[in-house]
Amino acid sequence: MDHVNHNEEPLRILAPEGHPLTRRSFISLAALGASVLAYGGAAGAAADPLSNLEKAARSSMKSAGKTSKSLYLYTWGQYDNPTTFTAWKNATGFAVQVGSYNSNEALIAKLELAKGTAGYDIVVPTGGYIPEMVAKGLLMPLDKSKIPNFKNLDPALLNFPWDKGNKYSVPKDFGTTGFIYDKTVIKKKLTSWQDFADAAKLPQVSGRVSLLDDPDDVIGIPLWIRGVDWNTLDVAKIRSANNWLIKNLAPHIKNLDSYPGATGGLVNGSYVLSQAWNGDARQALIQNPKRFAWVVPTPKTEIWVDTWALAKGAKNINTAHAFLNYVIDPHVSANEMEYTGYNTAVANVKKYLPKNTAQTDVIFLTAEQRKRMVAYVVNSSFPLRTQLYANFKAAIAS
Amino acid sequence: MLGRGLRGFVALSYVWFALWFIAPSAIMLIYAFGHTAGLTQKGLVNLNHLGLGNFWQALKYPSGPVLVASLENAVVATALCGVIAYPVAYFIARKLGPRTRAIVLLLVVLPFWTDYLLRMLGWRIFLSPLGLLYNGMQAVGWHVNYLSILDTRGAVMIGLVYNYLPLFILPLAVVLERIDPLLLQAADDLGAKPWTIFRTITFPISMAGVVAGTVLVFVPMLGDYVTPTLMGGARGLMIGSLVASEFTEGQNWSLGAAMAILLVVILVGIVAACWLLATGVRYVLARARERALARVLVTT
Amino acid sequence: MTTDTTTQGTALADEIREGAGAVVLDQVAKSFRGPTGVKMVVRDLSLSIRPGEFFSLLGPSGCGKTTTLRMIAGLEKVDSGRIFLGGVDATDLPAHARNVNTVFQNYALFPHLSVFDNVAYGLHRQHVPKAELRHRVMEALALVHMDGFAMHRPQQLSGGQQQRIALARSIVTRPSVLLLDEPLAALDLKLRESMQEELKRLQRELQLTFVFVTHDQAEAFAMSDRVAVMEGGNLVQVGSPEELYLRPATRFVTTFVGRANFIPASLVEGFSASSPDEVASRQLSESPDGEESVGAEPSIFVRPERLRLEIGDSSGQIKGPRVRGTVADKTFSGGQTIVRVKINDDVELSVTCDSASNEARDASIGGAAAVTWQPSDATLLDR
Repeated sequence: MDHVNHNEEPLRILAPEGHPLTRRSFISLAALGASVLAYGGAAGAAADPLSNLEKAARSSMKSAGKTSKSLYLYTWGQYDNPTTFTAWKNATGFAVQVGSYNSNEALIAKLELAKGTAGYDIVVPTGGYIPEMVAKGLLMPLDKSKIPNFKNLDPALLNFPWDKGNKYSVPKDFGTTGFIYDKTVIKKKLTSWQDFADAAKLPQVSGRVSLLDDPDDVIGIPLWIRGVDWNTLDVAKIRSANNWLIKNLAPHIKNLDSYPGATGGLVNGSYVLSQAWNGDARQALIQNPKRFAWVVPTPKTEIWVDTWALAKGAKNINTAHAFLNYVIDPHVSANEMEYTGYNTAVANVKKYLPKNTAQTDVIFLTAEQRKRMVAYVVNSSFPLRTQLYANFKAAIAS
Repeated sequence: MLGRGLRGFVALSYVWFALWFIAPSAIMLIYAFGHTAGLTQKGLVNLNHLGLGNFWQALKYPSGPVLVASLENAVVATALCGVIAYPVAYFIARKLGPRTRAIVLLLVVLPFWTDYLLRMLGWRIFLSPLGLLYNGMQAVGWHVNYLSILDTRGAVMIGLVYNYLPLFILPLAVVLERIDPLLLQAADDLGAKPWTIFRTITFPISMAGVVAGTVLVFVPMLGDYVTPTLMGGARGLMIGSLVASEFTEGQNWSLGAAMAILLVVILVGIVAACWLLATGVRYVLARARERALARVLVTT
Repeated sequence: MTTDTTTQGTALADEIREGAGAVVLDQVAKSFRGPTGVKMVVRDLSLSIRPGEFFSLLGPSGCGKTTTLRMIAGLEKVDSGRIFLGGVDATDLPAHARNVNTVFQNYALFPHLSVFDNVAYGLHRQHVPKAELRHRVMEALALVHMDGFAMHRPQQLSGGQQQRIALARSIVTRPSVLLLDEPLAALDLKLRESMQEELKRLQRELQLTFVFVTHDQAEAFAMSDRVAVMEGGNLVQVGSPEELYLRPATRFVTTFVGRANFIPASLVEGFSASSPDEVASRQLSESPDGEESVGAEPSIFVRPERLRLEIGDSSGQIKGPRVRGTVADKTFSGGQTIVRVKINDDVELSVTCDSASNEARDASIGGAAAVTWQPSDATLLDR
């Protein structure tokens, strides 16, 4: 199947060219915009012929031992290529049942309340939440002998502090947090988080700045600038960082928007400077490559990894392993990347991506960039951080 | 007298109500006195030792200033709803025939048959910096670089008024429609000109609808978090968003529950205070009138 | 209705020139658009009500009496014709500009105002000073014996009390004409009777023109100086209660204002004694009203209390017309007993007799009876 020419999609009302999907759907315009667009038919472009995917599904089922004929997946809305599921169904004869949530917290609450009876086999937590979920007894260990494709994974994306030895999780895709700015408004070349904060103060920029609606990424800015460990438990340092945010950034913030690219805030001129995840920023760049510049800032910034994991109480354990094996097949992985716009954890997946894919520089991080990236694990300072984040939000509103 | 079967059915409906309305509210109430389980503990809320800590926490910054801002938003938006709803309801109730009235009332609620998020998306498209309104303004020669209506308190106000307006129009239209035309004729007959009839008869009687509309609109508005989130962004923050974020990104259900309960208490307090004030003022006025009339009786 | 316009014109001018309480309707017509088309409710109605008069509009529901009242009040626009109030052409004046007040059938008290404020409503519109206003309101309430209820709400009062408040509200502004739209219809019998007296007393004391709409002839007769009977949007007859009762103009009026017996008759010339009991051969009524001609078949109309009953075959004791039949029914109602005598398949006569009389006692169902009357008590009407 040829790469679908998205320029001909008629229903594309808000989003820029390219894939409409973001890292996460959320109960917000992002979700709405994304779903509207997804229904518009943009989804479903398979990077590979479907037969390659079906082959992968069949071999995965074979290596998993005795499998059942049902599978329940609980994941972020619009976070997988529908053709991935189509091929699975063609090969196995049954469809994956997919439920969706909009935050890690919602996932945790759902599993916690159901006490193992939620009926889901596979869930998709963000790496940093895994220790909490393991402690709460919400996940079960993987049997890697049933996931032969595990060898396909890039070792650099294994053994994160949240899951040493990957006992519970298979990395799904990953990305970074950076910022994107409108070069027609900000003439100076920006490279660091300090540049971001300085630019926000400029008269033509102030009031047109957006940050991610995410406590960790927001407080990351001052911590990274100050060279403080992002995962610090030091209350004074966290408080001081938040005060810096309230003093230096709050007055200039237009909005907390996790999807400045997908929802069009950048393209339509609401924002000229936005903290963003790379996949989302890419959508603005695809739409208008000359106008925007993407920065993976110095000195430090985030690497995040979303993962596949087994839910406690899963009924279809072997089938779930088969599915995990299936999704890290290079063909399937490329198919996923084609849809989500995020780099998957499969090594050399780039080879399988269509040649004409735009803005791949934003998808694939360089070794130099990777060196500057740190991971965040939810820790005991979490309540303080969310409390301070609420203060920050109130400061923006006042 | 209800038949035995019917009585059983009514009893069942109470059980149903208790199950789906009271039980969740009770759980929230209990959660509010517990404390959130630690990140590495099992369970959502720990009920081993109950206390008021969450309520003190809920009263701390930033709840206060955000609540004040939310009250301002709700009061202004409710007033705007009233100002817009009154003439609309009056027109529907008094100027239309029964058939057209039914159609127009249907049109008033029609938008509510479509998805709430879609309607808000429509507003965002309309108001976006380079959106329909911007294009319209360009077309009529009103040039601006871009519109900055979205993601402000003003946008929240537009969203709130738009979403809650029908809730104000409907009770008001019903009350206005039910005013006996004979009352207006009686006033006319007694020498009142049209505007005087409106001022002295129609408007005072329609106050029941205004009060119903105000309560119906103000109460959910104060706790609304979807509209401010969608329309106001970070600058349109309202108290409902803070409550919601304790349940979501805060993972702090007991604090969220305490905030929600405090909000309910504040709302009940506001409504009760308004009611008491109105009753008190009416009582004082009535007493004063009675005293004045007693003097007239003595002199006649 | 066509009348000589010149005489009509001068008579109208005289009527219009009368005092403040005069109400004159000149060929007023009104129609409503209904689901079945345009319906004439009032047809070319002309009427002259004198100042200080207690005037009733009487008729069955749908006869146009309430519409007529509302046109006088200004609550309904006329299609054609003129309305004069106190000698002034008020046809185009809105209700609030007419010195005419209405008491509505269901009172139409303002539910959000106290009794005091209801009564004060009209005075406020006239910008009466506060002290005077209070005085006049309490005076009006005293007049209807409701002065103890000033601070009550209308909803707290009984129907009769609400009626009094509605009255007080209408008279307190001293209108020249008071219009009452079936004001007693919602009250029970006892209360209605006492309110009738109250209204008469008020009308006497205030010397206002009362225009009273009712479908109850007893009520109209008990209270009115003059009564206008309406039927199907037409004015049928205007006169004092006595005139209407004793000399009804049409069969409709006859039956509407009281019980009536109709005896079919043929008009013949001369007098024949050949068959004494034959209805048509007798002089049944005082006089055939000039316009009737021989061969016509009118009805003889006699009130039940003007008929006499004879039981058995005893005949000839009373001179005059006599018809024979059998007792069909006997109804005792206190002082009077109503006996129904069947003359033939088409005619049955009601006779009112004293319950203590021999006739009332002797009448037995199925027994022979005869009915007689004085020709002067009978009226000849179109059948």
